[in-house]
Amino acid sequence: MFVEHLPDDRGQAHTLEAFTAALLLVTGLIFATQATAVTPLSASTSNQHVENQAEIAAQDLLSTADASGDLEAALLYYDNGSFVGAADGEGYAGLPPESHPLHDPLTEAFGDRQIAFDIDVYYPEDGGNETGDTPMVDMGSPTDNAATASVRVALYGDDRFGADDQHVLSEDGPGRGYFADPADGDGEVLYTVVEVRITAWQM
Amino acid sequence: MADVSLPNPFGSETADRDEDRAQIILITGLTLAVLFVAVVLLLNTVIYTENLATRGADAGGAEAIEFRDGAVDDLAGILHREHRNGSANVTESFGASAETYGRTVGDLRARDGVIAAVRPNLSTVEEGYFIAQNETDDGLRNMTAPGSNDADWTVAGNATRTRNYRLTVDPASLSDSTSGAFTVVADGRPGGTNETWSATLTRETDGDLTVTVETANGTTVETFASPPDENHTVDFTAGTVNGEPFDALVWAEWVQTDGDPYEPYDVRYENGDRARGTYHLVVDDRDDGANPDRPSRPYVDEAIYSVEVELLHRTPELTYRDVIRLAPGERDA
Repeated sequence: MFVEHLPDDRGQAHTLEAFTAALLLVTGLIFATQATAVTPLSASTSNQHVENQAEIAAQDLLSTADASGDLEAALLYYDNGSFVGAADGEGYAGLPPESHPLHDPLTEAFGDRQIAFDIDVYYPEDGGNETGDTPMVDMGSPTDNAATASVRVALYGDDRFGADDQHVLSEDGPGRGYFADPADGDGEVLYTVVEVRITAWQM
Repeated sequence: MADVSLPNPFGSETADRDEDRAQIILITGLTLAVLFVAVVLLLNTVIYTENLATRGADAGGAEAIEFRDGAVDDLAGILHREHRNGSANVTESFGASAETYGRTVGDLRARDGVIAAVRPNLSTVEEGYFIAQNETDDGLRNMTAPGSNDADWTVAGNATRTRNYRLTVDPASLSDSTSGAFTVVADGRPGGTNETWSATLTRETDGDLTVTVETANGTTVETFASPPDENHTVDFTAGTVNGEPFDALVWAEWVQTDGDPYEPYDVRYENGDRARGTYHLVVDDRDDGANPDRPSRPYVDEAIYSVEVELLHRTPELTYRDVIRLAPGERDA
């Protein structure tokens, strides 16, 4: 009777062991796939494509906007210490409003394709000894796989800025709170040169 | 061992074997898991390595070219504004502005680990004259001579090259037919090519602009639609009307020569009373026509016809150095 009962107990233990082993195998597999997951953003061929595409899109957007004058217009769309329609000194939290010169190109290049981006503007400060920056668009912190592109734009003393282009840079720039000061002297001819940098990443 | 051991009444030997197998299953599970991780990592690294190797093939030439193009555009903008502002010593003030530009751009590029320099070589300045008629307080002005209101007059005499010649005109002021219409003439002097080139601007009934270009080789006529703000802009040296290219519009074709010796010609206006608008141009030389330092329109100021600029753009992969001749808006540019 004692002898007869023993194998029954062992069968249960075997089943339990089998389950444990299966569980271990599956856990191992899950761990393996999780640890080395190949998503569009992890380091692989497709990730590089995504990065390259974002970089080329950003560079092309800057080049075309620079050539058409929209980029300069966007930099001059600044009034009362902030880009028109943005919170004070913080830049736009999402796509710029429709009145903004870069609204259409940004929507087409990034907005419709679910790509997040930051646009920062760098300019010389303190007579060229320092570089200051102000955000134009701030969608948050970029991921490790973000791509960047930049272009330099010259701003001239006779350029007009403000919501209705009501101010002249060399006359009202520093007085009316334009983000950049003249690079040298009163900035009558060349006001300053700024660098516009787009950081784009897949959401 | 088994055959010399006493058989265990409870079959413990079989139980031992089974327990060994459970352990093997556990070890196999772990090994397989580790193996999978290793294989996936390995494959991934292979893909990534190949990818990295191919992606570094670009030395960054496009970046340097972009830098050059940007600098040329920006310096052209500075030069035009120096002329328009009527800076007293144009070479000196252009040099100062260009130096500020070069320093600022150099600082910005340095943030990306690029050594960049823009240096205008002021000893290569070719002097010229900037002639411009801006808008008056009452708006556009007739294209007549300054002071005397002569309709036919010489804008620049004895010029040999012209650049950045742009004219904006109100269509309402233009003549309907080519006879007696406003005409821009480049008239080669008898000592030079002795040819004549002209462009006549006439208006269509709906305000469109017709440009008649007459060269030694024949006459070409083309009509251009009105732009949104109604005023037509003709860029003689770029060969565009309202931004649209007009192939036959080649400034002073057969009159201006492309290389030494540059033959002299006069830039004249005919029927200047039949057009209201603004214009500006830069000529390399003049000894006739509108006088320099004129306080009334058109202004004539000493200007820079061309200047050479040295560029440097150095990254760890590529050193790019170039000397470019800055003469924005030349005929062949």
